[in-house]
Amino acid sequence: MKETRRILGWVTGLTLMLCSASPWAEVVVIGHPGIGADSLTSKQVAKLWLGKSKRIPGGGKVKVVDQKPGSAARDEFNKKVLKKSDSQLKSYWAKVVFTGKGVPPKALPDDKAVKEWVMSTPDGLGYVDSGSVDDKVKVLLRLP
Amino acid sequence: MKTLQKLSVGAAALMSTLVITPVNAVEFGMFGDVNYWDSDAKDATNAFSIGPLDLYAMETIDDRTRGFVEIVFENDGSGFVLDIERLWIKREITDDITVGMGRFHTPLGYWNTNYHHGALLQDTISRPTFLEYEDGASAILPMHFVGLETNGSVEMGAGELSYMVYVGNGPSYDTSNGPGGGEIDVNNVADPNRAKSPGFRLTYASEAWPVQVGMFGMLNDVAESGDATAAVASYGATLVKQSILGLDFKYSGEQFDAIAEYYSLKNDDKVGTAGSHTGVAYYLQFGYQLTEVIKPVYRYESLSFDDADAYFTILDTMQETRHVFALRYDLSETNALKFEMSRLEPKVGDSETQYGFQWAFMLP
Repeated sequence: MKETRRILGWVTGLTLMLCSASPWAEVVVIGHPGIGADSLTSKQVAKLWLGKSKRIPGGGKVKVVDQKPGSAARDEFNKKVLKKSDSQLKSYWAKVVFTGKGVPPKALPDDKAVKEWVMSTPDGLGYVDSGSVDDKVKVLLRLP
Repeated sequence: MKTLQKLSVGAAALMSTLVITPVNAVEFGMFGDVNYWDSDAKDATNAFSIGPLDLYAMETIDDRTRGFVEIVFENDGSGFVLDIERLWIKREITDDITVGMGRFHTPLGYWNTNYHHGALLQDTISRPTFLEYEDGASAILPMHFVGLETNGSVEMGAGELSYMVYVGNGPSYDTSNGPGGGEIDVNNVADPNRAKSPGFRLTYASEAWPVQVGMFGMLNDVAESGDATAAVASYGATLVKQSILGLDFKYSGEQFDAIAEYYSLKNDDKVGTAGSHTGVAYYLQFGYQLTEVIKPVYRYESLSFDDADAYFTILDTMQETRHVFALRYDLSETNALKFEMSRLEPKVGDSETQYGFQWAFMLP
């Protein structure tokens, strides 16, 4: 009986781990509820996260935040929106930093931290797993 | 027990502080390049050369403050020297205003604000001749300045208007070694006189089109920094009053891109009787991304001025045109091979064709 429980425990744990790191998780771009736009395109989002633009149509200037390297949401976001690998992004930002044109967005550890930062930053945008979203933030883009 | 609880709360608070610290607080990097050059000029020799070794670091001090330093090891002809190319600290006062102090690239035109010492950044091996750095043989402009800079951007129509306004130490030149015997000094730690150089740059970038247009200007009192006994003027005296005004344009299409810059340099001789003259410098560059990694580039450059212009006499500058053909092959995001052939046609003297090969890289 003890053995069965232990096996069940392992299976449950592994399942939860796989679900939390699932590459099929849906990532959404979220904003503070006060943000002036209701939706954004992938292209507009990419320009914001690559530092090529600091404004959104109808919403004025915004600040964006990343997730820490290696997180499932970040990998998904980089692949689908920025269309760059982590190493490509590292080179990209090195060039931007070198030319004095900007700095990479600061990276927060997880969905919870990103959501809290967005909720407390009137012009803040971030991305999280759709499972973390509630009505305290505005969904601006669902990743294709 | 209470002490333990307090310690636990303290540790948790400390951990949460550590966790939300930006992961990119300090960025370090390096640029380098190795080259091979050949020329058809009489008595020219072919040679391999190592380019400047460029090391930089930027620290995000807090959400609004950044510090940056760039040092370069380069060969000045007599051996390797260490130069501080840029050193600045900037603070974002509001979302639209950032103020900084230090040594910057002078915001003259597109090239000098976008391409720095890292050769990997630019598609060609060489910079336009008239935009060479101050220690280059053909340098005519102060490409760096030491002083105060403010910049920012505001939304305008369907685009963004960015501005830079700055004031710094004026440039100087040591004439005691004769025409072309010195280099433009941007005066890192002192200024031979009280005249400071103000300047500005405005750019408008469209949201709808991949186009950016710019306008820029700068006023210089080019001072004498040489020994009075051998120099043409006393130390600190103004040699030339100079006003620079220019326009630039950048188009960045999916495959095709173009850059153009135009400079008008009005130089007023304050020592001799050469009077006031205006010189013109410009270039046009076109690039086409043939495949994801291959890009051919063509550039045409021109520099012309009155022979009597005292400023160009002091610098011993040649009037010339130049055609540059380059082919860039990106091996990865961090290294590229470049081949370049350029044809220099001076107004006086023999033309020269140069061939160059470069392997440029970066360590991000």
